[in-house]
Amino acid sequence: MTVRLVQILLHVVIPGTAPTPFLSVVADCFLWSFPASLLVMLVARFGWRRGKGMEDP
Amino acid sequence: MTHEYEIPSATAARPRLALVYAGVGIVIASAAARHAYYIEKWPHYRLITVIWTAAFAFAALQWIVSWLERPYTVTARQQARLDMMRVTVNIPVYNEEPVVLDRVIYALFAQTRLPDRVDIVDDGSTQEDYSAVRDYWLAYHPPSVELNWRRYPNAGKKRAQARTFDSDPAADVFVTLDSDTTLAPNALEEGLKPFADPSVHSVAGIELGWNYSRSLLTRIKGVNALIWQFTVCSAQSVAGGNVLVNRGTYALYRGAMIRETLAAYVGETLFGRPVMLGDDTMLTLFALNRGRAVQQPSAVCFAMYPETLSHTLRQWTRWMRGTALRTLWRLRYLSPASWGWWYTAITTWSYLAFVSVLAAVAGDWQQARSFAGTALSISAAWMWLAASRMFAVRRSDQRAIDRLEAFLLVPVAMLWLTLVLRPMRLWGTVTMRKQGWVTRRGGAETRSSVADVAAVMAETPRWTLHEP
Repeated sequence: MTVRLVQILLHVVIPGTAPTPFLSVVADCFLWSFPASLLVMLVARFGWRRGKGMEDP
Repeated sequence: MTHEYEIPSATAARPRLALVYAGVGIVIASAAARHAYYIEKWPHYRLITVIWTAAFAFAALQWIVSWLERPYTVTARQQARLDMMRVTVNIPVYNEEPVVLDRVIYALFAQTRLPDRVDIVDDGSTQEDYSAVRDYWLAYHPPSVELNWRRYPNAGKKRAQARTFDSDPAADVFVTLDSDTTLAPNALEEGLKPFADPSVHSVAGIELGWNYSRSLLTRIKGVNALIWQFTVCSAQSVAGGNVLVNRGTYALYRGAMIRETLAAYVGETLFGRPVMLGDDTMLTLFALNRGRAVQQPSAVCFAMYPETLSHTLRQWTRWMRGTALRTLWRLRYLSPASWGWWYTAITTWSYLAFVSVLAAVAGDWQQARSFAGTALSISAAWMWLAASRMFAVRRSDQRAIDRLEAFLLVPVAMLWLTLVLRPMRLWGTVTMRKQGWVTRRGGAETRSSVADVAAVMAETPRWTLHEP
């Protein structure tokens, strides 16, 4: 871990290492999480009717 | 039981600004250059590098803003007005260890600014006998403070708090204090200062661990809690008073706001069931909808951190159940123009991405190994940077070497957070319908071994001169 950390810190100054191919998978994860989180936001904002929150009971 | 304890003090340290800004500037510029390089150099991965640059910009903005936090101060005139305020403290008690509760009450009555009323509400404890503590303090509390000690059938923390909120229509400020939380001597005086600004509706105190040095677990928790409070929460406080989580251990609320929202507070339901968890976050949300919710870095309390793995995980599960619900509530009720709403939206996305990446790494470890190592190393480096904010507070019972030790523990704390606690949030989300005092059914989170060591003879408390 320490060696890796030093490599990365050095990398800030002397960049050059190619990214790992697994990054494509990671990119997909981020990409598909966006509509999923948007759905959560929309449901929370406009569709949530299963609980009573800030409204006076 | 001695009824007397030595309570550490804590002070908010002023950073050396020129040094801070130069350091922050160099780090941000270097990291930004690195992100720009990646975007330019590896077009095939442009999407992920752009996303990461945006995430980096958000984290960097948060870190920079957090450095702007300063303790609230008041003029002599404002202080005179604060002195006139009626301050009522609620301590809900459920199976707390008597010696810990005794210390909490001692520290409360040793404040540089005494409260006007203290309500200790025993929420139907089944495993402890508080008669010795109760009888002593009812006899020897400061005469200027009204002390009530009441016991009710178990109904949960929110109800225990509501019994105080409902019974003091004259209170200007309500203080919520956990039964295991010892206040630093000036915590109340400092915690009241932000209320000099009429737009402030709630104040979060800073939580440190009373038993921080007890074990590796408590140290890790202390490091993570400190970094979170002095980066995420500091930034939220500076950004228009947008603190999203007042620590349940010690927080202060404007009385009028509490009375306005009390019915909604105790009447909150989820799928038809009453919501018992997330009391502190709900009160913070009410405050946010009426004005500003801020943090006072000089108002410090010392909480008891769980000392066993079992208690740690149970406490975290309880918090994550509350967090799952509050995330929905924040998205629903906060203004999309606020820092708090955007913080919630962005962290919702990043959490879903984190979970899916974690699943992908677990599913294809051979391919992912190199990425996982790099990601963890970058996280450790970034958290170390954020941890520079840990030095914003100093406690009297810690030496420079203790602070350095905490700083060195940061990568371990990051690993614990990333590999154990963050994935557990999923479990909290799935089981958020389960409500209750999850942690304390089997007793309080710590036992007397800790409290006994800490209980030492100190100066004679001044109010013993005023026996009734």
